[in-house]
Amino acid sequence: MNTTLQTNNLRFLRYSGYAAGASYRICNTKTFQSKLSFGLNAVSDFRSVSAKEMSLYTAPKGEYIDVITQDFMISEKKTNSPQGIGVVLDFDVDYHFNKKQTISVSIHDLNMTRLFDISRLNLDTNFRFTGIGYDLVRDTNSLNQYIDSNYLSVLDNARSPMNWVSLPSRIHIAWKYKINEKSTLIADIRAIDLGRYGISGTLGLSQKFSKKFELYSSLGYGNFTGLLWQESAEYRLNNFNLFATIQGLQSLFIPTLTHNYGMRFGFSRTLP
Amino acid sequence: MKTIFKVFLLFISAVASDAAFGQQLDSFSFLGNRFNQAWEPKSIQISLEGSANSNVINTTMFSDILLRSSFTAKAKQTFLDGDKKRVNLHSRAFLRAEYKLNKKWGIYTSAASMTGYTGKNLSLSYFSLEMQLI
Repeated sequence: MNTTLQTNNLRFLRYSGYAAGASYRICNTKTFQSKLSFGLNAVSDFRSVSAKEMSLYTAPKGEYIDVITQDFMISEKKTNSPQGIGVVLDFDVDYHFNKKQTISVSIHDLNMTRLFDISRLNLDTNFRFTGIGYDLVRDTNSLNQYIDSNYLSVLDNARSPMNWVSLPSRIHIAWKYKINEKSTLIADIRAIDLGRYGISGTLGLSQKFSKKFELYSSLGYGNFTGLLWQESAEYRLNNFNLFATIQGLQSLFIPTLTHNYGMRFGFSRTLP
Repeated sequence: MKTIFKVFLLFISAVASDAAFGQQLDSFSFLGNRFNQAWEPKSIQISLEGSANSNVINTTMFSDILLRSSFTAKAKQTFLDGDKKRVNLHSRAFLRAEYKLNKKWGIYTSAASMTGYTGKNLSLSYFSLEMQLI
């Protein structure tokens, strides 16, 4: 099946990793609470692709793929060992303006990561892939084995080491207004990588039905999520707190016009 | 003596107003902020989250990826008919555990995985929308 796909200002990033570290309570007064977490993060998988313009043409029966690019960059890994290591910081602060109003600011995953054995290819040219299919997203090894040998010198000249990256951080700002002892109105805004991978805002109501049960319902909109309907519940039993969130509930009624899915589960307790 | 008394009164009123403005200790760890507010030694919090978001890919297509080998016709057509001036996709899986060692310090560990894509003016002369292209 022949296919032509064209896009511009493309940016793709995939990574996975692990982090470990310490958290420190900086301040805990009646009006101001803050917390800092700092640690090391290890990157186990990394792929980055960007292009000002890109066009992919797949020939009938997949005999070849023509790629036309402008300001194209793709990362390549040389080994399958860990891809990088870095430092990561999280910062949380709550400020209570008065009895009713609180501002919470969280900055998470602020990091600087040193990559190992990863190079970047900067290309401004046209390519023809033949033989084995190359998946821009999943195949992270060198392009050399997939490309016509006539292009190898072009690739070698375009290759340079990719040493440092900053993986996406997350910012969350929330304003909380306590309507009464049981109800709190919450307006918030979230940005991933300063909005490069999404910015969204929600308005919600948190309702305590008893000392043991609280429900939070919110509606919002984001450029990566479309309409965002979220329901969260937390149940407290002695020292246990159990929590669940479901995002994209509108998919039950209009799945083809819903663009997000999400779930979150949490558990906390004080050990004896 | 009078000045000391005034300073003392000022101090008391400042503390009292601080206490009045302060938030009561929340009983909820996730919807509230009890875990960090109380910072109880030997307390642990574990959270797991997963999400997939896009401005054009609909949830039936997400389900298709998870449960089926191809996209359902209606979901595919809705995607193709949609506005693709900018196509955004973001998915994230995250696991974090934190343990409070004492009144000041805690330790944590986490695992995260993220995929993000954004592109302008996506045009498809004929897009087979096979799974591997997504």
